[in-house]
Amino acid sequence: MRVITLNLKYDGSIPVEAETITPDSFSDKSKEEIEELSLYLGNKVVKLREIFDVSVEGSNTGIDDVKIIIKGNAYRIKRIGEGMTGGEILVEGNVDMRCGSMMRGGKITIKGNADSWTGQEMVGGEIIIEGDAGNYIGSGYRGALNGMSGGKITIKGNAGLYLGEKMNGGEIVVEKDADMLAGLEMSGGKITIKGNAIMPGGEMTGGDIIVMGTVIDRLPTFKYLGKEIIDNANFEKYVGDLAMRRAKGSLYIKAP
Amino acid sequence: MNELIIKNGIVFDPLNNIKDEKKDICIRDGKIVDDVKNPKILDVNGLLVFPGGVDGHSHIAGAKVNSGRLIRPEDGRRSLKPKTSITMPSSGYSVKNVFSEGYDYSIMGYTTVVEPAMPPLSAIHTHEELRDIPMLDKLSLTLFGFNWFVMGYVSRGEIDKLAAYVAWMLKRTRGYGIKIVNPGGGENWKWGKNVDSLDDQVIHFGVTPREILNDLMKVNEILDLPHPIHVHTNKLGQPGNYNITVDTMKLASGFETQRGREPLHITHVMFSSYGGENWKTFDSKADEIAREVNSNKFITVDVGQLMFGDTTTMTADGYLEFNLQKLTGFKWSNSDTELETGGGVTPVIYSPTVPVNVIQWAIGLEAALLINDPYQVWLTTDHPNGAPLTRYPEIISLLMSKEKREKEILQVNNAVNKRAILPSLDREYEWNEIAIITRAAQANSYQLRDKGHLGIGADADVTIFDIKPNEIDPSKDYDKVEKAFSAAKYTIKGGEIVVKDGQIVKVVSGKTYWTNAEFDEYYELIEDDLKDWFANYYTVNLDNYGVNDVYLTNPCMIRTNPTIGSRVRLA
Repeated sequence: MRVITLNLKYDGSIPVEAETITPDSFSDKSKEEIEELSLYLGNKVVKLREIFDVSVEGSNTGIDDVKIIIKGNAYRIKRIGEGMTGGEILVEGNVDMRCGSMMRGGKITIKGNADSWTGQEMVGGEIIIEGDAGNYIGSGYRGALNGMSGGKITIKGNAGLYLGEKMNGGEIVVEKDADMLAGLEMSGGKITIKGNAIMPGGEMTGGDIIVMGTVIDRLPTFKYLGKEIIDNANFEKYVGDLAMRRAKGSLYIKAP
Repeated sequence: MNELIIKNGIVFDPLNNIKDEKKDICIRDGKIVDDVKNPKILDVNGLLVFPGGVDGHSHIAGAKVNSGRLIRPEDGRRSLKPKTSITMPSSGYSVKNVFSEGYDYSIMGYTTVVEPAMPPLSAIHTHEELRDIPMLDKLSLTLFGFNWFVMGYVSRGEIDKLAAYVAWMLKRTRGYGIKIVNPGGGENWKWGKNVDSLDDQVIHFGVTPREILNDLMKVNEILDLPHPIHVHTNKLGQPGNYNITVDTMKLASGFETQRGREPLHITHVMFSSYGGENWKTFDSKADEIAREVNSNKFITVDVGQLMFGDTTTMTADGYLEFNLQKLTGFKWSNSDTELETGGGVTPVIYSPTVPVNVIQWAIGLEAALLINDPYQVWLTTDHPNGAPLTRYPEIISLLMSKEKREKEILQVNNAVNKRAILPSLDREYEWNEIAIITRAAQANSYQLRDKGHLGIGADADVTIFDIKPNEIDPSKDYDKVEKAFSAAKYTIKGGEIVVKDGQIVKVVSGKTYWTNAEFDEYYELIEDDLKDWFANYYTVNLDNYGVNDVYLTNPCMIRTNPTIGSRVRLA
């Protein structure tokens, strides 16, 4: 196991585009090479060492053997772990947008809060957010036909708007509440919301949404099918969103 | 004096009957000359030398392209390249930003490109985008196919006024020629309908597509326009449309022109060569189309080749895009440009496992392989409708190698063996024929006398590809062919080296050609109609309408010799 620790020393408010921070890109690079990687700070190119102090321990045989630890409040560092295929990233504070977007494998753990578009269009792997999450978690890029299509995102806090928008595979679990329109336009996959949800499943055509708390403003375009038991709990099953053609989405709401 | 000599290249220059000759090319001040005194020497030792590429049909600018960009932000994040010291940033795959359109064409060795569908009302927008496209000489064709003025004059038989209107419009929009999209059908689409044959009537106007095409073809000739009427046929994209395409081609049969060019061009013929009655019985009728082209010397076609992958379709034929959107369920944009034209945009995914897409893919190649005279068929993808412009090298290698086609056929849906004839075709294009379909034929058809050849006096637009035509066999080494055509060794534009080893080394801005077909008292002929209609039906004031030279980079006016007005009296 090779542990690469990045100590954040940047505290400005201009965002940093850090798509090069992935186990894939670090696995075959020495400490010096990692420090020389280029990042965009606003519209300027900077070296990674200008943003982070790098320390490296141990050695690795492949990508899966790499662990990246990001220390400090990275709330202005975007796109960490973009497209990663293996290994592990541990973020000890918050992260900015698009962390783990287009991720294919491996694991990202965020101890703080994650901003919007975390896990955007992810295909595989796992993301754990221990704090709250922003909007559009596991969604598609603006205009994209599909969002997340595989892997798993766990949010231990609350989730923002449009959770799993356009999602067509994989799984999202929210331990607390989800804001409006979770599963907007989703066509596959599974979203479990352990707290409350507002208007879940708008324009969904497939996949499952399970709400264990209360649903506020359930959309009228869902049709009640009957009671169903999941994990020894009673749920009311709805199909929808019937505003869409050939809609086969399932919405399970915990029975009172 | 800025002089350059290209030494020891293997030159293919079909318009000057130069084929596979080791020849030096001398350039002075942006033109090809017969000798130079103190030139910079470029020794290309046996590499392939072509004239600069000419793409006769590529949607690169205008309102439609921009709505494609607007509805597809997800396309814009592909092919990203940051700004460098000389180039602007690039983005997009099927709906590229203006800069990368110029760079990508130049890297593939193209130097002249035609935007084939300019709605008059958004001519300013089109020219503003064209102005920002670097590296290329540009032309644009103005849309006339279901314009109210046109249909009004056709229905009243006022061909002199129609000629005056076309001349006025080309001048006002700085257009190069007449583009006709779904003649008459586009107007019916505004009522939710379409036309089914050349003799169906247009709602309210009572004219037929046949009359519109015939009259505009006559006007094209009266005004002595350099380019044939450029026709997107009726029922395009619908199964069983090959009949109407053949009928449209027959309209041109026997129509002699004084310029010695064909009177009619059928564009992206792949989309117009469909058999069958619906998508289930859909098959290829490229053979019927090719038979007509081979026996009818009065037409040219361009391929509109489809390649697998996703792209954005865009056309002035709103009906077509609506139907496509119903099939795919993707996002869609439709527009109605007042009295003039309309349009639609929707993304598509062409999949090698879908029988219809596979047959479409085969039809384009079949048309290119079955048409005997390469001067009658240009290579296009109808960028971005069939495929983005960056797919040309792949298509060239498919045309040059039966082995590559066989390899591809094995990978796609079996429908290609049952409902297309591609597997049975043995023809392989030669270097010279590739030079014709990508350069000479198009320059010829647009009557761009300085383009598409390397004779004395031509513009010094030259492409040198990193491949030795005498040392490789394109039917076997198709990968090398594809690689060579995707990144030119050198592209020379107006005598300057703009691309070296597939990288942009100098950014230049090209010319914009337009046609001035004014004749004596042409404006007086239509003045009352224009004032009346603009006052009553347009959202724009007549004085604020159109484009002037401020919007054009290096405007280049082509003056024609209309046989109307005081010069020749109408019968």
